[in-house]
Amino acid sequence: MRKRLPIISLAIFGFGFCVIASAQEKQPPKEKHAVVLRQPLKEARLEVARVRLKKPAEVVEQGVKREVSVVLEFRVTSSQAIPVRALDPVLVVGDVSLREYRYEDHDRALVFTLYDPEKAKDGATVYLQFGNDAASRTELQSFRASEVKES
Amino acid sequence: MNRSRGGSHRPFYLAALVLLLLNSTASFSALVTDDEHDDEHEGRLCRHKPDNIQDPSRPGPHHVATTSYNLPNTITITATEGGSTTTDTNVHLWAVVYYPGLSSGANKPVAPGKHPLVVYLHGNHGIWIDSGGNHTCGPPTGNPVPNHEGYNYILERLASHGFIAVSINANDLNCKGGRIVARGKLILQHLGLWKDWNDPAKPDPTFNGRFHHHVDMDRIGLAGHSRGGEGIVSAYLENQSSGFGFHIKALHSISPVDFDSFVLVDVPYYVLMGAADGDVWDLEGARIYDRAAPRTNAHKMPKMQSYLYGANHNWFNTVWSQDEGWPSFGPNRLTDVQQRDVERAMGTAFFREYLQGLGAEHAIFTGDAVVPTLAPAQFYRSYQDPKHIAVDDFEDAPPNPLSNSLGGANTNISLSSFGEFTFSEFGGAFNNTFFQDTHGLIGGWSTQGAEFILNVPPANKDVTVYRYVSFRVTQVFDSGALNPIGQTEDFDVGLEDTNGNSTSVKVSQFDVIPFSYDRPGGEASMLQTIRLGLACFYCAEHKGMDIHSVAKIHFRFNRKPTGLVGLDDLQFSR
Repeated sequence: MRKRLPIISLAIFGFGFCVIASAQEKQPPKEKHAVVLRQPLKEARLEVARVRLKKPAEVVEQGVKREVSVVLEFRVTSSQAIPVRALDPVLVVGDVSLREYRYEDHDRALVFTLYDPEKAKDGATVYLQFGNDAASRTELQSFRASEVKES
Repeated sequence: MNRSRGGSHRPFYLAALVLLLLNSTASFSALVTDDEHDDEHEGRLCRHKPDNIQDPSRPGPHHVATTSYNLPNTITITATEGGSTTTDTNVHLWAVVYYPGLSSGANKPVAPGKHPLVVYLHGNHGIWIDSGGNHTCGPPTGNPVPNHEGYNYILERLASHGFIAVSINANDLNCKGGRIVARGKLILQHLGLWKDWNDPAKPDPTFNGRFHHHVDMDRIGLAGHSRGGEGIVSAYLENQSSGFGFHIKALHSISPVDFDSFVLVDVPYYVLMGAADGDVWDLEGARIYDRAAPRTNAHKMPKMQSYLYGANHNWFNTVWSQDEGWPSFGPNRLTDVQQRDVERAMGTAFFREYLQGLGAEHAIFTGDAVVPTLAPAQFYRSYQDPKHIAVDDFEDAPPNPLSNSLGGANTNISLSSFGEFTFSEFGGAFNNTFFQDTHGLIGGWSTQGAEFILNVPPANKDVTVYRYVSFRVTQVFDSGALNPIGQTEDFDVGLEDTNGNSTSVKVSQFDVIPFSYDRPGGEASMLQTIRLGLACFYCAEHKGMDIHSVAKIHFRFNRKPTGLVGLDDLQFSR
């Protein structure tokens, strides 16, 4: 019996360890660090592509439904993850505000869709801002029609 | 207390004299025989200092059982918001549930009886946990962020007090623009589930009838954080406009956004906001509060607000553990635990009052009571009772500071800054420190003795049905020009009757008008409510004024040599 004690003890220890480890795995991973949201994005860049949709998108604005097959996609990238905030990111292109977006590339890219490509005027200033938080305003290069990539 | 005498005695003086004779305490006798000013002494008599009460969120009598659901069938939500219509497919109906059980633990039988239903909803946040533990919008990792589990700390406590407390997952609406109305629709979908789970006539493969007849669908409360805090408002309004018929009796927002400018008119509403919010930095919940119970429909709901110094945006949710709060400043930053202690106490008190009819803790919303165990949390409140008469809400169009809402004339004596302004970040404001959605009066003085007087028309002179003269006030942040940095504000408020008797009190005897919370680059002038008991004006010495016949309200700016304040919502109130 004495010879078996260490084995039993080891088994009990091992079981306990597994239970604890299992319980820890069930805890959602924590993001512990502090983060400053109210600042411009770091090393932000803008790329614009004209995208021909495989399937026309149905757009409803002011109650009017229409189909769109060609859109402009404004892709804002940053060297850091772009924060996911309560306030929405808004891309302002001249006098047009784009509010439809998706995150990509582990949140290092935000892609905004302009369903009316003709509304983007050549030379328009472009910036990104979260809601009305001017401290988060990120200046981007102006929109150049000649630099729009075909996709 | 300062007072001037004049006119005849009133009948109630006799009654008060009898009371005086019965009361033989030295202090009271000293009061009535003393014609000198004795602010501290009389302040204690006419209004008790806030009572200390126990934490409303101390564990209740029930065992706490838990369960969850994530239905196999997803739904599609189409919602129109801001002129655009969005369609979200594959939206899961997923939630965690805490409820009063026959015993504690997972999936235990429900305690006997019907229990009010409280539903929480989180806001926008990453939805996938990546290999580094970061919360991202993608790509999908198969390990979703349990955003809805971040409120378990209050769900558990609510369940112990007899609520079925649910927190909904809205990951399928996150990482996308807006989705406030969509969030509201998601809540209503869940309420539909609970309606069915309460009904023995409906098939229930999820819980096999565990909740039959146990859900009090006549007493539903909604709570939401961040975008969820506005989502619950949308749910409430859509429930009304679309005829769903759910009996939603109370709404509680935590640091909400205000994308859609909704107006509440007929449901108790409580908003809790952190002054150190580094996300919704412009404190948008204040706007929802301000618009609620509008002047055209002001008597159908109470509304209350807590402005919590040192609290950030994220830490009301245990899963959102990043500290986005204004870093390196904020002299009274709270820990995440302290911050959640406040939500747990206030949220529990709110739902106990408006869903269970237990109003014992109501006073923590009005300032008449404090919870010592919440220290060091400091919060400044706004409160509006549905039973009130607005003397002046300063909403004149065009602005007219010389006329009040009752039709009486207002008088400015020596206020150098004086006028009605928009208290908003969107133009027309006195300066850029207001984040509200109301109009108010700005009063500034650089010599002591300035005064603002409101005349009460004869038709409104009898205020005996009310208990308080109530107003909202803030120090206007002006970089120290008139309001010295870091100092509290103070002034006198007086009532004068038609015979010229008047009594005034020093505001600081009853409450604090704090300096703005330290938010460099985002200084906020945030209105708070001060309630002065009418007893303060007529009880003492029987020489005070007659509240059957109020003629004037005085704001005497005589306690500080300079100052700049915003005033709003001057009322006689219950």
